[in-house]
Amino acid sequence: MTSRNINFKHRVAVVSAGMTLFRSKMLETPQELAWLAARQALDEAGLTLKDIDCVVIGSAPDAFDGVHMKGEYLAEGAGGIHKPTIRVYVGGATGVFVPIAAWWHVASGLCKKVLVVAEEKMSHAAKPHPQYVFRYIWDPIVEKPLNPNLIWIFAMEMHRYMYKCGVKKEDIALVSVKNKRNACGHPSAQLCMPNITVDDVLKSEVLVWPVQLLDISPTSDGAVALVLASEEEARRITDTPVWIKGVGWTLDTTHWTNRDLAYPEYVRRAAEMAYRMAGIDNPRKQIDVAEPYDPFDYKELHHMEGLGLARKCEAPVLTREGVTQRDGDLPINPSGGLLGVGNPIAAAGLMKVAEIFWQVRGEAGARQVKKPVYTGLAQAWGDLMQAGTVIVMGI
Amino acid sequence: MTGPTKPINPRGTKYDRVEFPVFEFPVIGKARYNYTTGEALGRFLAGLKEGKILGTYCNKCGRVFVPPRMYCSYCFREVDGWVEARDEGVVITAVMSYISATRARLERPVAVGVIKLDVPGYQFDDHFFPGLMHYICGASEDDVKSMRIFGARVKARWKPPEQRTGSITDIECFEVAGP
Amino acid sequence: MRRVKYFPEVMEIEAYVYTAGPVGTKWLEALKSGRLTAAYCPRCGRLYMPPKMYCPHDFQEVTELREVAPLGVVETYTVIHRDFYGEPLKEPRVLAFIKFPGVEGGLIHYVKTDRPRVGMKVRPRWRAERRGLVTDIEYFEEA
Repeated sequence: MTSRNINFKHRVAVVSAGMTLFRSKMLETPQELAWLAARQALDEAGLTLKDIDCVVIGSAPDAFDGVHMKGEYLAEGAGGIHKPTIRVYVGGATGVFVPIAAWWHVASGLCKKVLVVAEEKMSHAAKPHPQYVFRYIWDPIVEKPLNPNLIWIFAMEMHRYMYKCGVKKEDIALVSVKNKRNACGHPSAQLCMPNITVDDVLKSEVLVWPVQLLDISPTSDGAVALVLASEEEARRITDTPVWIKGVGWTLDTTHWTNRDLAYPEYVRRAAEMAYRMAGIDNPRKQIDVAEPYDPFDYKELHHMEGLGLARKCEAPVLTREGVTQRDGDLPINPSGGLLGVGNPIAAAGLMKVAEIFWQVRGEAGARQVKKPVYTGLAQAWGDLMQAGTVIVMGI
Repeated sequence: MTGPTKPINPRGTKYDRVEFPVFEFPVIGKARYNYTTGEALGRFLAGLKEGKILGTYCNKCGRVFVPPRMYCSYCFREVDGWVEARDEGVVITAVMSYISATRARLERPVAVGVIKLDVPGYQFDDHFFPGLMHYICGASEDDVKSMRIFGARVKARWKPPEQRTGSITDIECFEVAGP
Repeated sequence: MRRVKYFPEVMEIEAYVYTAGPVGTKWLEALKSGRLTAAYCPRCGRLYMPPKMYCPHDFQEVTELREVAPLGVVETYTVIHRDFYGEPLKEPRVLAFIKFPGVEGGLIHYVKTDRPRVGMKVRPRWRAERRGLVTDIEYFEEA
């Protein structure tokens, strides 16, 4: 499949994926988590570390693992010693940005086989709670003196979305129910809740109205890894390489109090960039399965609209009608998302890319969606309502 | 399609309580930061001390920036000047917080939101506007839950001049204006 | 034009708790019982200190620890005269990188000596009460 507007030297495919468990507190050191995921990805591809040309590492704030220059610290566990290695970071959007950066490595012809590793160990920032690291995200001069809690900003965005689109909490809670149930099919999942209901969500502790406890994803430790390869290498490694058809990324301003929170403009722009590259002009029909970022349940709806998978304010309707279930017409987050599998900040996005990879190859087993999958999409979001990263993959 | 569910046997050892040797390091001598406020926010904070909300404007695109910047990030040029915004405006979004910054339960919940400020001589749509996050007083839990608070007019309640230090907290909160 | 120049703030994490990993935890427990060990890679036969659960050379899993004779050699050292805050120490301290024969890597630790030199043979001085931390060795002294 040819792409328009963008000229690059080599087609790039994902040829394998590996990941660790996602749990709130894990014993392994950050390097060991990275190694566990990288080892599984290499084994699945039948490769050794010597076969890898370049390594791309993704990890979110150093303040979580509590080690300065976290990417370099991880490098040994991620196989990055004595090789061209870089670390990239865009907050939560890192998970989808790492394969994009790795795509640059292969598409330019510079590297033939690239190991992509994303890791996060939030449990090190133990006291008082890893959430505390998010205090640094606020503008120190005009926002932090008000003593804000990070959940305020999500609550404000959620409430604005509910106001503009006339959405009720019941509709949004359906997303949490779907994802936490979907997660039961995921071997790494931290929060599989097979019997959760909308009622459970609506009765959970109110933190910052309208956000309640079961609307949120947990803090987690975990790592995910992929191997990317150029076309000729990919065909030698596997019979079903999954091609990267489009990549897109965009940043918006940190001055989030100056823009309308009801619609994620930056996600739309990142998606447009990826769609143009992939030759997609009707995403609702041409994307078979999608993994939009869901740190909160309303975010899945928000991002579905930014991605053009639903019209503005239409996402809750699709959810209510069951369109986004695994056996629906447009399955969304069949993995269980961040809400169910867990949220180690940087690794979560890569987990979604791995999910699309497995779905396209029919290897998602208990999570495999009913309709045939040719093209899938993973999207991540990060920082202060700013960064959007999108990757379109398929066969 | 049948086949094993990937990922196969993901590894990792979870723990709940620390019952083995670990390295606990208290963060000693908390790093103290002196953030320079820069040209724009320096003047903004001085304005707050005087009981004024200042902003900057770009003539090319017509945007007004509160909090102010020295450059228009959309036209990528220096701003054309300063303007004083009214200390009143409209609630764009509001929420009710039951937890503090440390996640402890508050004795009384507080309302927080984004306020779109009035600037004489300008009209703003929802796409881009001068706005600030702040506490909202005079709003009940029901006002927030029912979304009645959306679109309500609010006015800044300032601290008395001798208590102002040149900070966003020189405004105590934005008060819901009476009927 | 009047300006408020600075805005003071404080960073807020109170304490970090780092885990040592599955092999690292066993290594610390060996230290607690007064034994110095290193990780052993079954594939290439190398011994590593500090230990990890994978061999950096082969990228294969490592689960075994093997005991190491408590006789090390100073590879390099430095003499510290000031503390963390820049205040002069009562007595200068010697910090050394200590290698053990047959083991890759080594340990960084204090050496109690008036005559530090490269190639000096050293022996660990264990604390009476040990907790399973690197500081269970109080310092190294000349052997």
